[in-house]
Amino acid sequence: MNMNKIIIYIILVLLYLGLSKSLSPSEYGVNYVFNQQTLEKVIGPGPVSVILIDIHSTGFIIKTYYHKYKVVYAFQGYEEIIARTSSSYSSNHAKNIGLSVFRRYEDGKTNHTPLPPGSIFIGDRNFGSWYKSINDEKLWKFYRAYRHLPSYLGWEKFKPSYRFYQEIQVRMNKNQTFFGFNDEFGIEGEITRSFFPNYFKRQTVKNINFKKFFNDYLKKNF
Amino acid sequence: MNEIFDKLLIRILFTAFICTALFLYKYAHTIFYPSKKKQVLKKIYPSENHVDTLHIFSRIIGVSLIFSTLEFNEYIGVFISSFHFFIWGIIGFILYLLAIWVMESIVFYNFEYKDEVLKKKNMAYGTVSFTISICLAYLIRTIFKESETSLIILLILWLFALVLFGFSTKLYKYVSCLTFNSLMIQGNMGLAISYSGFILGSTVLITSAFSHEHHDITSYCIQVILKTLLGILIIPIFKFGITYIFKIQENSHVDPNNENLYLGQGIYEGSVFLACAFLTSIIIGQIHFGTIYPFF
Repeated sequence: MNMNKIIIYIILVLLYLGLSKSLSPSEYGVNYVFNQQTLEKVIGPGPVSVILIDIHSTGFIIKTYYHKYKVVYAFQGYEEIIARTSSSYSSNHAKNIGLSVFRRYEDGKTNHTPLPPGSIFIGDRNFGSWYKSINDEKLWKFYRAYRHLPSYLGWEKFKPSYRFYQEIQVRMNKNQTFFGFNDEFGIEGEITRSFFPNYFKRQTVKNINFKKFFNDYLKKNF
Repeated sequence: MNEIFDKLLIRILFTAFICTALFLYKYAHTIFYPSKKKQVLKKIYPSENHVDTLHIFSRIIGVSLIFSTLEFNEYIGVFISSFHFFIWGIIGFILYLLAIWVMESIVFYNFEYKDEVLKKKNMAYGTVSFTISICLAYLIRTIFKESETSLIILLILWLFALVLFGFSTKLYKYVSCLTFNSLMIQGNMGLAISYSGFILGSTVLITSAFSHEHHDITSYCIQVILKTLLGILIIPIFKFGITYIFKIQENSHVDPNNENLYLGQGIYEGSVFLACAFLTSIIIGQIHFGTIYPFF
């Protein structure tokens, strides 16, 4: 009899988990990205630079991981998407916040090397051209039609140089992450911190003053 | 001062109106229960048959419980608010009486009201019938609140609640070692208390499964099913916890000739199930995880 009860209990647990999985509203509308190929599928067509802008985890014991991407299209503006990810995929990209983790070229070629945002557009004559600065350094400038791209990509006052472009090409061929010559981008990057601040705000450790907490609690509740 | 007198007068008028609604209920009862026509229409002598008294007053308490959810909004006009109360009051006691009729047909399919109450004065029957009436009133009260004056939603939720409640009454044999039919014939109070605790507990679980905000009826019903299922999973854990913490030793076999053993077993089963149901309602209804969508 006891064995029967245990079997019935296990069946009920499985039934509950199955029903929750298939009927729960939280399962609807959120894409699941567990590797590079699945990320490609959730991105719309055309030339695109996909920037990882935030990582978040929910859950107390069993964690669920989420990535927030800013998808900057060459011709259609940008959109922000949230995707559920696997634990391993999330930890692989833990330092890549502010970097472009996926890009697709006009001919459909794709690349997943974590590089500074908008690397796909730098050096492409369809989007801009090189000019010489007063220091005799070659810098990239977008055409007027694409003048909004630097603000979408979060470059602020950053202007990529020809040397920067060459380094991107080298890193892309070697499949090596590139954070910029002065680590401007990525989790430690100044530009990333100022343009995508949400993740960093949450990470700030708050010193808990128990006396203040207790006093506030008493004031609010009694 | 005029305003205060006016408000008091309106309150007294509404009180009289509710009494009229109760008068209507008395006659509605005879439509659904023609065999009990005499019982309701004749004068009631409470001391004559205590089981019958319990039976009648359980219904009156139930109807009062349902009426207690209804509201008079005097600011929209006395006539309109009275009309609203009148319509929803009628709907309330029709659904209530239908629910009692269905549930008593399921639970007491082997028993007749005339035999058990009028002839045998079976107190166990009266107690279980009383509990069923109160539980159904609570359920209907909850679905009245949840339906937010939508008749379609009210009917769907009423049917849904009735199915869940009817299903739960059939699970008694899995949680108790007492046999319902044979002990009910004997008028065993242990069984009555145990069964009453069980259906009160089931009502607590079902009402807490119904009590959450809803945007569309399908996802609401899915959530209710999931919460009920979760309740079924959590309740044995609490039962195990209570029996372990308080070192309760159940008798593996209850002597059929010893009434006191049945009574003790019934009180134990009923109270533990009810306590577990209240504790489970915290787990299924009062733990809030925030938004279902990952906004960050």
